[in-house]
Amino acid sequence: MGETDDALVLQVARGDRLAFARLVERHGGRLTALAVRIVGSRAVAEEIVQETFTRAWVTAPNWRHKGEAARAFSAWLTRVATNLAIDQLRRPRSLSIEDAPEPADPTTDAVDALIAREKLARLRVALSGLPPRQRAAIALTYDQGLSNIEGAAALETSVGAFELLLVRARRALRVAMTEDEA
Amino acid sequence: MTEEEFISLLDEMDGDIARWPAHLCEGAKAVLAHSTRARAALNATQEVERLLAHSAPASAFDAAAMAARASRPGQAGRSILGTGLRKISFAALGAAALAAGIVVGMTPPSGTAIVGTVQMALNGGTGDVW
Repeated sequence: MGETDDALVLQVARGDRLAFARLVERHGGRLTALAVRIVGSRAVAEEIVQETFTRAWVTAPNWRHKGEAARAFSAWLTRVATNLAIDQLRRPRSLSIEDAPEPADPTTDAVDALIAREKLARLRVALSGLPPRQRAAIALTYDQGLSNIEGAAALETSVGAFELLLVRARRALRVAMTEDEA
Repeated sequence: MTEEEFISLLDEMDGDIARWPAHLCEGAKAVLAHSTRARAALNATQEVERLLAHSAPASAFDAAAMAARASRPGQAGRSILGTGLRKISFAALGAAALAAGIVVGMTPPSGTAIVGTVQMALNGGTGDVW
């Protein structure tokens, strides 16, 4: 079992690059997946994650002074990456979610595979039509497995507001899939 | 439970109605038994959830390279943040220009000009004063 985030964060605060690399290895994957889901582009997502870790590296010595408990490091990373991804989406020339690589198709039958790919394509289109914060709420809930309380913290909003984002996002996706079936 | 209430609950909770509170689950089953629209909504919700689960983006990345880049001196804000700061600079310039325009527009003319304008108005001067 490796060191806890707490211990690694303290080492990073003293400039330990090895400890920093271990934190990046531990959290980078899920942050990349989160950012890809929100911005729809792996290249942009990796830039967002790198910026997130750069901020972690730069601000590490001040975490405790700023009242940012080391044990909240994971939540802090999620919050920064989510906000950067949302900011990126709000820029005029953000990349389309359709630039995302095709996910692995779990079906083996050719016809099923075709149908599944077509449905996934429809889902991507529907996701790309969601407002940035709704898309982030979906990613935080379904991909990151966060509770509504954790998701609200990542989006720096109230639990009620987060739940409303989720309800609207689910409704939009459901309607999109229903209309496509009709 | 009405059809509309069932569909609202689908959006508030999820497509696994077996996990809903017992009284809502029973009501949902009753609605599903007679409503084609409710069944279609449930199918769509479950389809969305299944697709989301199967399309979770891959998390593979080069941790060592990213750590090296992220901790490089002077790296902070170089990419995404840098663009943002440039945009903020342009926004600040625009705001400053707007503020200057408002100030100029609200600055009263000189005292002499005001007196002249009032006198023209009182004397029934030309109509283009107002």
